[in-house]
Amino acid sequence: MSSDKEYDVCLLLEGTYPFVAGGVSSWIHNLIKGMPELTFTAVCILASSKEKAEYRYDVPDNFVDPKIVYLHDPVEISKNPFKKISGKNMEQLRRFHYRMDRNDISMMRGMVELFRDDKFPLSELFHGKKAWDLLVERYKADTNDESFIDYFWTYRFTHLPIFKMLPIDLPKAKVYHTISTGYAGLLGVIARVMTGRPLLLTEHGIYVKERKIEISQAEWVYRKEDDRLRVDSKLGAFQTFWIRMFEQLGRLCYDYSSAIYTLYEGNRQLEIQEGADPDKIRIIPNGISLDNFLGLKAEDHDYQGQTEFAVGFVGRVVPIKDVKTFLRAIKIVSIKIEKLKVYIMGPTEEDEEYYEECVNLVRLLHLEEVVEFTGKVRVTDYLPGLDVIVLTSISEAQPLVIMEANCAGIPAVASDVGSCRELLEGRTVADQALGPSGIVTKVADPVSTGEAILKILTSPILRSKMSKAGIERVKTFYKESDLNETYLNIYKDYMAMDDLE
Amino acid sequence: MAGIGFELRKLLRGDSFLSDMSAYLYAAMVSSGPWLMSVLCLAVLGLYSYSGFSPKDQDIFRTTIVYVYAFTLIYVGYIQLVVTRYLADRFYMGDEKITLTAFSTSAAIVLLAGGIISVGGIWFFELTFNYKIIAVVLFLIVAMIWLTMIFLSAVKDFRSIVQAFAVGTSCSVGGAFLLYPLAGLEGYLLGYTLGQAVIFFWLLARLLAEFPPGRVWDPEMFSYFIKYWELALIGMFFNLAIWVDKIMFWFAPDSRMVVPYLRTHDMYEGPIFFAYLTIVPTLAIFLVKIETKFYEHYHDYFAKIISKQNLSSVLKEKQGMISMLKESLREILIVQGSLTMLCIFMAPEFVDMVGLSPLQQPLLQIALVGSLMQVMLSVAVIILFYFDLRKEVLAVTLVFLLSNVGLTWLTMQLGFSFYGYGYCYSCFISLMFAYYLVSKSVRDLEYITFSSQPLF
Repeated sequence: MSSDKEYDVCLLLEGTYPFVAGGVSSWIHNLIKGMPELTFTAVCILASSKEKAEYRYDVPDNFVDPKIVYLHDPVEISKNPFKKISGKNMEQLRRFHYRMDRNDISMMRGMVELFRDDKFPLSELFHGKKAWDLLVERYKADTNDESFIDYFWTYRFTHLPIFKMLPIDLPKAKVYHTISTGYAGLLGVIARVMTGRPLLLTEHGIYVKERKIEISQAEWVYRKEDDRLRVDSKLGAFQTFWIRMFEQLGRLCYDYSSAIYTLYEGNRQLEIQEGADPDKIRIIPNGISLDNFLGLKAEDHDYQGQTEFAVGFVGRVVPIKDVKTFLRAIKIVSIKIEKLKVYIMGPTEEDEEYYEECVNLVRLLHLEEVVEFTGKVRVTDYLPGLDVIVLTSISEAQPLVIMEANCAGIPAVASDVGSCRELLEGRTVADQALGPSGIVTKVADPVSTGEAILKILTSPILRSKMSKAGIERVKTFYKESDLNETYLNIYKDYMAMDDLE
Repeated sequence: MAGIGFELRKLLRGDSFLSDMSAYLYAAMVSSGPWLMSVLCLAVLGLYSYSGFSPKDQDIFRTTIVYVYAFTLIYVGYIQLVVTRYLADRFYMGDEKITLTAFSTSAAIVLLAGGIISVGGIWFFELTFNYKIIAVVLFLIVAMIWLTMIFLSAVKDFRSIVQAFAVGTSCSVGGAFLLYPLAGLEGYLLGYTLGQAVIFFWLLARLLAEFPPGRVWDPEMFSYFIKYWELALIGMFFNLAIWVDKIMFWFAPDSRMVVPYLRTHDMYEGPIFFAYLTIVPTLAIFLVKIETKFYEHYHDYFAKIISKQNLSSVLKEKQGMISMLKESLREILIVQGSLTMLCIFMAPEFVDMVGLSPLQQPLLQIALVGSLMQVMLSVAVIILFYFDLRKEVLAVTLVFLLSNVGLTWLTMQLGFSFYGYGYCYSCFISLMFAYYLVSKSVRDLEYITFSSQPLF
């Protein structure tokens, strides 16, 4: 370990805080800010030093000495003709690979130690004969029908970042906390193996699943021509190669983590599918800071006799948010309700083409008078005037929009993705007892979405109940301060723990 | 992650990279071909001598020519392969304008350093001042011929090279005969030099006609001497290895000083030079073979890799390349071997015909075997160059050089009946070593090709 300084928590971050803004980054920022009594450090994995690493956050004082690792920077390979891989170690490497194929990770510890003892010099792994022989052996020269040159480059590109992670000097900490599996997760595994300190994992999105989607859409991974033309969605051999590597990294991280935290039940199921031990997983939903939203709508607001209504959609105008289903649902609503106003609040420039299609759809449905694209705005300015908030996303994790709607006392209609159902109907028994704070509909179903909106708008009693349930739900279960307290307790428990074997 | 397999693609995309490979081949031809012409030229001049042309004059002249050829080849060697590589890379990038710029730059180096070396080298010889001047000019002209050949090899115009040498060599013979009556030995050398000048200017004219004019000085070329230092060493040491046994014999106890310090070894040189003439057919066969059949296999092998074939079909292609190589080597061995055998049996008649001493007959015979080995060695080296295995070639070169020095020294200790064996065994050892490297490299070809790829 490089320095003697010991930190309380070492975060292992891949492409997020404090250099990239986003949901996860904000979460980390609030977490650190929320527990000033602990010192945090971090190892931040970034793509390449070509992109400027600038802080996107005003980092708190207890976040110190972050270390940056560049995944795709060229490596200096020092050549030393006397440094060879011994036959015995090569045999270990071979066995390690074959065991990993069978999801047996028992040799990981030994491999990490050998790597860190410099028993596998990079020049030998990439230019040596023994490593070459292993590559050809694993390619299965006699039977394999795949392009060899692509196998070769895929091997290099998948292994190089791993080889880079393995010898990294990690800060000394009482607890290591990785916010994803993948390369950061690998760092966590290394830290766990080398220091014996516990490793915690929090996953907002499921890394392996996200990589799978990315890779199956990736153009740069070579696939045979006939594979691409086939109707079924069978993945090419090299896509499988990549995915298998991320799956294995995921499984390693799950296995070496002392505890796994995620936002909602759906994620938990995915993690179990990817090999995580169900007993280790605990759901800790995100929290929000109540101050900004509480009281936007007066709790004793009278819904009776209302004839003018306003509906809000908060989100970027992009396909994954399925704005078109929302618009079709609005058409249904507009037939029944004359005085209707609809705000689509979110940037439109991210996918210009899709935005254009949505504008056309508005025209086609004769909704020009009703629908307004506001562009990027401060949602709090609009919330007090809204009667219902709609979310038609195809994919979500734990959408902040719904939490904000709950908090502001505005009922929501949301598609059944991510944790929307938990947020609107309650997760635990106590939560469910509060009653629904909105209606969950099927994905891409304009009719039921429209009907749900109508139902909420036309029944003042229901709206009033939902409004109250939402405010109560957030206050009780999604308070940011509670979230920080939960994590603080977790940290304290694991920091106090004896070194693990 | 872009740029997958770029280096390999570079291998295949341009014909220029392959012209790079054949450029190595030409470079090898350059050092063998024209110098054969000179041996021929010397033989012609030696066969028809003037009455009154004293044997001493004959010796001075012959020794001068041999020295000039030997030392220009060694001297230009350091620049030969490096410039070849530089040109090939520049052509690959589509920069043909650089040719004349690179030529003038390297010509400046060759002339400047060559002038100093030749003047310094010849100064202490007891020759007339005029003779020394002409000899220096000859040295520079011949050095420039080698240099021009490298640049012309890019054009692949064999015909004008052969024409230039045919005409120039005739002019040398004619000029020597014509000018001897006017100015004696100095005239003889001047005539010869004029003929060589014809070759040079003929080649130069061809070069100027082919390429557009450019800048005069090209500083970038020098970085290649650092980047491809192996090539500089190979070029110089390989030529030195070819000549080192002759040079050592000039200083043997039974060598002869023609005039201080122009030395010759009557018994050794003649048979070696004549034996050397027998490799012409092999060079011709091999040139054609490698330019056609081997090139095809070599191309197809990499094409299979680039076109995303599986490993087993790549390996199948390699098998084709291996059997083709084996076949070519067998063919060369049969043709060259029969010729060598024939010459060995005909040695007595040949010795008689060219006026060698019968004592030299065994030396001629062993030299014939040595030449056979040497030409096979050149073939092996060219194959190694095809795969760009510079370090391996450098190793072969050093083995050749050191074994030739060591074994030649040994034979000089053992006495006359062992002369030639040193050279012959040195060629044999180097050949075996080179052959081992070739077979190992071909066996590990995928490994060598892929693993040497840079990471990014």
